[in-house]
Amino acid sequence: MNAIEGCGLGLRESFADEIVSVADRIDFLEIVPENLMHMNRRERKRFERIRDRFPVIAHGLSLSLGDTSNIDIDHLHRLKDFLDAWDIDVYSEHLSFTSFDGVQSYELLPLPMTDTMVDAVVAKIDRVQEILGRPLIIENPTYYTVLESTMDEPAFIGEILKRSGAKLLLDINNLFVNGHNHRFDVMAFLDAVDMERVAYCHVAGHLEYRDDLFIDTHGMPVKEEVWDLMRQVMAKKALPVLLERDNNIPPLKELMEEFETMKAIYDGE
Amino acid sequence: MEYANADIYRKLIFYRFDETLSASFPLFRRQTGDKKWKKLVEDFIVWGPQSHYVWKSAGKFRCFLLETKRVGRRHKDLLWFEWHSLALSRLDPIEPSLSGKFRFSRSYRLADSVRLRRLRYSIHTDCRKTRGNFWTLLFVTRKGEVSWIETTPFIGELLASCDGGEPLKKVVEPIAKRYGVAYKDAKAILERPLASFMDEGIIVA
Repeated sequence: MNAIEGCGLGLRESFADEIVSVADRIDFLEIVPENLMHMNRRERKRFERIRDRFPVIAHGLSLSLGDTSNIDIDHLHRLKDFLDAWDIDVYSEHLSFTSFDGVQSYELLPLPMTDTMVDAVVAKIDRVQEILGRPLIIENPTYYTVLESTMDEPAFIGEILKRSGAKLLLDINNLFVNGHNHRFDVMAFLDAVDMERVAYCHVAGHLEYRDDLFIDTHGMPVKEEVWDLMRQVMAKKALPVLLERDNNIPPLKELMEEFETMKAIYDGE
Repeated sequence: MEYANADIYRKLIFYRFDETLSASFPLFRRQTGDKKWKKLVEDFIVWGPQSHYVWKSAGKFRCFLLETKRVGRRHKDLLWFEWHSLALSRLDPIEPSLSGKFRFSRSYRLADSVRLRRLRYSIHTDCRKTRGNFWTLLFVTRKGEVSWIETTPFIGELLASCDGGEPLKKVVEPIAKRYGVAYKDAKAILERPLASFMDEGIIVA
């Protein structure tokens, strides 16, 4: 796997035409393969220019690791062809389900944290890694309801990582949101995570929907509390970190100001 | 049993579809009241879209509306127009033709990046007025943009009959006869627009 380092940005269509102009400030880009697997010629040429200037990693949305009875082999082969064609080694997905029996919700839905689910997810990750020919990185998602579970989230994730060999994409905003919504100690969570198994981190904004419920919208600036948590993570280990923004995307110039905040924290300023 | 915050997930899933489908079918969305739109989107989610690609869910939504007979003829025209405008934007434009000069002795077909349909309703007003048998041609320009033009019934029928088989002359003759036009007159009238269609990559040899 190609090592990534430094500070990255999630590439979005709204600023794809101008991203090359800030290439000297961004260490890597993260793309959503499902959004780029049907590019026309103009979009391919643009992506070629981007690919020439940045290390690129991929962050999938539709693998649905939790839909353990269903694996779309054709989609995985198309995905492998895409990743191979663009020489993208690093690929991550969410530890959740987005579809059931192939029917898509396009939303990250929670998994029951049980031994049975660990077994099933590990088996699916094994198959995915085998077909894609590259190790998988799994992200800790947000969840707004806790399905019947027999273990806590760090134990659930830790067991899957240990048995599958996958690495962790530690989403710092998700950790913060989950800690708030489910009233757990985020530092205890971090203490339980083997930082050697963390490939990189995400930071993003969330919506304070109610006092007792924050929602991971990726539609607003990163909150100060999340920057603080990022400082805590970086104090444990300096990890590559990426800014995600999916909705309400500001002009690139404005987004880069937030990116520079992240970079300053990464640099320990 | 209802899990805690199940309503949040319902809202989040609805929002995902609402956002994508509203952006994919802006005219249809505008002509459908909020209440009806919400019901259509909710029913579509239950119907079960199956694609890894969010943008393709718009095509599934159109299939759902047609299969479940949820729209009338005027909106069928509009959905055709809006879906194919989106789908064609994913296709490459045709390379500049190397097939030389346009000739009636050659056979032509519509390019893969073209969609043609006889529309009964005027999609760019409010779809309430019929416009007769005009044909709409949606195509990807050489620059890669999606464009459209309206054509006469004569040209519409002619283009629809161009399948790359018989020479164009043989395709024109029966249609001209049906319209009561002599072949040589039809040829004189058609030569310019058809040659420009070839230049635009709308028809290919």
